[in-house]
Amino acid sequence: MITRLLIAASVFWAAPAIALDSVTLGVPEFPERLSILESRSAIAEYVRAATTSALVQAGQPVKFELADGMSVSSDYKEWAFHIAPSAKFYNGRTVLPADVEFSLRRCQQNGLLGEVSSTRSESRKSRSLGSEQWVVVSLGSNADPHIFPDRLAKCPIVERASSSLFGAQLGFGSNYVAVGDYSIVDFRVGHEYTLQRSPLDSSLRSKRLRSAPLNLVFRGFRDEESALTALRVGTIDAFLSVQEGIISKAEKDETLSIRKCSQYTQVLRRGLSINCPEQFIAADVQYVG
Amino acid sequence: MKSIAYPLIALLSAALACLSLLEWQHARSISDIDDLRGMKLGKSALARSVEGLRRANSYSVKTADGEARLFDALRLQAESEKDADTRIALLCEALQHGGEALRRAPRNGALLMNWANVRQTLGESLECGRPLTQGNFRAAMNSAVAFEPSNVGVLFSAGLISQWAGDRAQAFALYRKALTLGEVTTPSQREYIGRQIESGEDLAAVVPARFPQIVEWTQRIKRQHPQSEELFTRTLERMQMEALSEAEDGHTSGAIPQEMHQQRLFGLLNAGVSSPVRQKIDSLLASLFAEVGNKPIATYLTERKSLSEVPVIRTFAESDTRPHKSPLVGWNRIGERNFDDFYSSIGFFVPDNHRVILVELQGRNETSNLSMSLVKLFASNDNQQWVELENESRLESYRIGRRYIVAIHPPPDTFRYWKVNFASSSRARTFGNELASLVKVYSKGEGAQ
Repeated sequence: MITRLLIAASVFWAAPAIALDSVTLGVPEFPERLSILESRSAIAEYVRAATTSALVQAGQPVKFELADGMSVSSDYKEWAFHIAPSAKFYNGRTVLPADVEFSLRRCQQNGLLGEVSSTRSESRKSRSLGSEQWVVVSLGSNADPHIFPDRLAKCPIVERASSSLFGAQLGFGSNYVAVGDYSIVDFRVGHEYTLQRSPLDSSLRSKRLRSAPLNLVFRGFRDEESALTALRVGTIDAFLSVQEGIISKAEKDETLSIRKCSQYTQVLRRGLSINCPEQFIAADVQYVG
Repeated sequence: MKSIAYPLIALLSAALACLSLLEWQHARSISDIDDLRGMKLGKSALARSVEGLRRANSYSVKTADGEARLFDALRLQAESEKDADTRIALLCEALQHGGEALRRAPRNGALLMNWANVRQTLGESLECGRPLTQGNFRAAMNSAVAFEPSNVGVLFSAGLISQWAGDRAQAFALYRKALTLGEVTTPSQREYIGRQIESGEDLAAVVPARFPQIVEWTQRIKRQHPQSEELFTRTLERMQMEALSEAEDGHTSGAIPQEMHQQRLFGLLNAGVSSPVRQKIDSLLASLFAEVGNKPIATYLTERKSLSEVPVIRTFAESDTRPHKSPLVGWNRIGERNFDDFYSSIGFFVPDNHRVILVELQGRNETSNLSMSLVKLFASNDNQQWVELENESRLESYRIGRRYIVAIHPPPDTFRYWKVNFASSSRARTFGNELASLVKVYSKGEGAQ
């Protein structure tokens, strides 16, 4: 009994994971004209996941991200969201319903939320909270409401004022203002993105991020052979591969491990854990075991 | 027996009189309504105070002041009372004493307003069954405003009563009258009035389009509605133009001295105005500087008045030691920044089709140690490859309206990304401002603000 208690206690009293200073991931070389907000390439998926947030997270039941309240009509065709007052862009400005409306319309226009028929702001009165602004999203008649939250989770919320001025340049290079665990501190088109963890505060989000690396670097490689060499000599910590020859070489290396992602195979330093690009969560990047 | 009884009665009477006098003194000392509020008296203490005032009133000749004090104390007691019937009874008694006070001082605006306030609280249909308690609260309010048209307190209270009565238009007209009296209104009154303004129409109805009010309200609107400023832009612009015309007329006729006129213009300019208003101010200031023979500033302002401000997205880079290589990141930042601080860079993105004619750095202070030779201008079209425009740019510095200004005239090329770098390891920090004010960009292109 005492042993069990000690084991249980050691689980709770285990020292918190120490944040890695910097983790560098190799990705396939990317084009010079790359929209971080639109592209489905691995680099864009990684950078987007680390530097932007949506109203909700993917998965069932729906978990809030920037929203802190939701209501759904009886036919599931009208979804209303209240934005958390604590939601702030990396530049310190508060996320407003106008920003959310703008972002959802943008996703509607680029087909990411093609099932949305309209988006509007609405003032709703609550007895204890007074008047509140909600963003109401109406779905078209052919929309499948069950997959809507997952699709909504892929629509990054961006600042309206700066996005309007960026115009056609929105999303390219560092040209967007969003809410994310990380922000872009440096980039070289077609070659590298360096992200830095946002300053920690007392929020839950910060607690989750405490063990996340301070810096994340995504480096593009023209050929996988040089990525493997970089991994072996220690200049990178992992890379994405599609070449069987490279993957079999990595399998034979005891210092490396591999993990299957949808279209790639992740080759990592043994013990390092990184999610695949589509499910990337920066807070989960850490050494385990 | 009688010989003992008479002095005893006299002694007792004197003691009673002394006690009453003491009680009356005590009641007087806390009789002011603000004193009572400030003391945060408990319910029983309030009741004792009211009782003391009642007795004091009965022992003395009735005066307007005495009745008014009792009126106020009863109102306060009613506020603390939870039982509806008791509360109504107290308010009715208050109303009667208010009426008594008004019978003695019928042109007292504050008394009339307070009486109207209590009458409104009780509702028009409720009858108190006491003398001087029936009447129309609107009539009382209108009389108060008519008797004391320059009393800001009366005007503000009348506005509140009108608003509670659902007459928003009349309330706004009364607030406007109060604001026209200028600085006499208290900050909390102006704060309250500001919170009632929800649209451009409200703003035009409440705020007089004149100096000095227009400066304060331009700042207030920006502060109270940072995200919905565009709701007010047009109205504010029209009002600012009206105020400028009036000020110009005043200056031309000699009613407004040159120094005051100039200060007002700078005040509005620094409060944040749209391009048309800024151009108008530049034009007026250029004339003023020309009048006093300051040709360089007059020439600069004349040039600036012909340009429109371009809406840009700003950012700031600390320790930018490789300005020709490092990209701009972290857009649309807020907060105070110092330009002359260890290789700092101020960057901005210019939307398409704008050819930058003038880049203006504006410090918060009148003086700065900033040397023009340390200010370097870079430009890029991809935020990666930067070119330094050192030889083709013209740099000037001015002290205008207690602001130190660095004016950079770049070559006639069109670039999307721009960077002004402080090429020194000095940490003087003498040239700083809110980022949105620290750098302004001007163009002749269409679509500029």
